[in-house]
Amino acid sequence: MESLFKSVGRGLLYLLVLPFFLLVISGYAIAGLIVFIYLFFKSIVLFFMGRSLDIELPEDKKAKQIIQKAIPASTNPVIKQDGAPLRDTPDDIVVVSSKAFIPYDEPSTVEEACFGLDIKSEKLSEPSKEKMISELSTDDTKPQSINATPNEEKKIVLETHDLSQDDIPLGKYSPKKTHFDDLDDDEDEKQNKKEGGVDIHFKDF
Amino acid sequence: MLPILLKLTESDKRLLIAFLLIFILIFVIVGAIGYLIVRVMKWQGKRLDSCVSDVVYSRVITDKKTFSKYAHKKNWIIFYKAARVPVIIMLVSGIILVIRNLVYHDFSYDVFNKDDGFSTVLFLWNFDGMFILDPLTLSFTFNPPQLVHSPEFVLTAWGSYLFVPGIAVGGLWYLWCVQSLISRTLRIKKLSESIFDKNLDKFNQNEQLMNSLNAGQTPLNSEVKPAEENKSLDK
Repeated sequence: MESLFKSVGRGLLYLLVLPFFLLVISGYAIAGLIVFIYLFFKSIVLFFMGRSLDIELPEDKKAKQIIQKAIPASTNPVIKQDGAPLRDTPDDIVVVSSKAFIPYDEPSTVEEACFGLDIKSEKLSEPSKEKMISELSTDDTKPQSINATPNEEKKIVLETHDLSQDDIPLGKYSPKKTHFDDLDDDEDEKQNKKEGGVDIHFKDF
Repeated sequence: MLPILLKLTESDKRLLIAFLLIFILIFVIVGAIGYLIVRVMKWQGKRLDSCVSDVVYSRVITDKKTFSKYAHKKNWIIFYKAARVPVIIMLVSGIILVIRNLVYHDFSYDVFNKDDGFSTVLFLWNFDGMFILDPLTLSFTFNPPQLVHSPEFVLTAWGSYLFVPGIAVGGLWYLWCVQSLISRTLRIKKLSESIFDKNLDKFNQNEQLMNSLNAGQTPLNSEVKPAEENKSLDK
């Protein structure tokens, strides 16, 4: 009985609100049509400029960069960088690619830590990174599990999860070239790194 | 009022109760439809979260005004992308009607006429004199509606056959998009107030101070434990 009264009351309320709702919806419909026409012409202009009306705004790109940077830095990531859920690694995984041993690159500059990687410079530095990783896999510094006998190779366990940030040989990786590398402060920072001075990183950014 | 009610016959009372029940039924149906619309609008509004969550999680946007501006901009782009199909459908329907009028040289064409309009494929009834209520005698008579027209396909009405369904589908689809737009706008308003809300309702500074002064207790919001603090001093 109570629910019936509730329904009747709600119906009465909605009947009273209905004219206002129709007014709002018709107002939005007209406004939407005007904005639609505006965005239509804007998209045409953008099309001839070689661009498109993208739903991804500059803020989204910045956010994506920060999130992609934060996921590998996390101590217990639940998703991978591509957004797929991270599953427990089974015991008999065969390491096919040396990319599996790519350690997390610490941000080399404050700008990189705050605003993400410079995409252009990253693309330029990508082949050299690949090359160095392949060198690393043939190097003597590779983990014990890779030096296993051929019979044991199939049961190599992916041990990258156990590697701490301090164990990763940072010196093997070339710093990424950014617009800010030319600044004097950064040069000093690099000098400090070489001399083994105080090294400040944004580990848990 | 009461004497009039006392004078009512048993059949009149039954009639009044029937009217009352019909009114209640109408209210219940309207309430159910309204409740459904509210639920649908909430669901439509929730879809905004997936679009704006990244910038909030990554703290690219940290204030209410910027968030509102960014979210509204995105909202209009989503609306534009969603409303393209219904607008195209309506435009094509309109073009078809214009072509039909150009072909037949008839610009005063009524798309709903029953000779060569959309009504040719509809059942038409005459509802005149269906309910007759005499207020003096409170007598009520019900006459069933008379069938005026049966559906038949008329070739010359092809313009209306394409125009009316096209406009109806496109229009309803467009209204759906507008409703989504309103839902997302409401959601933006709600989120911009809740995300950056600095609520002090459950905060008591004195209580926190007392907790921190108690021996062996870690102050609230402190990340460093006392034991770890000593370790760092030893180094």
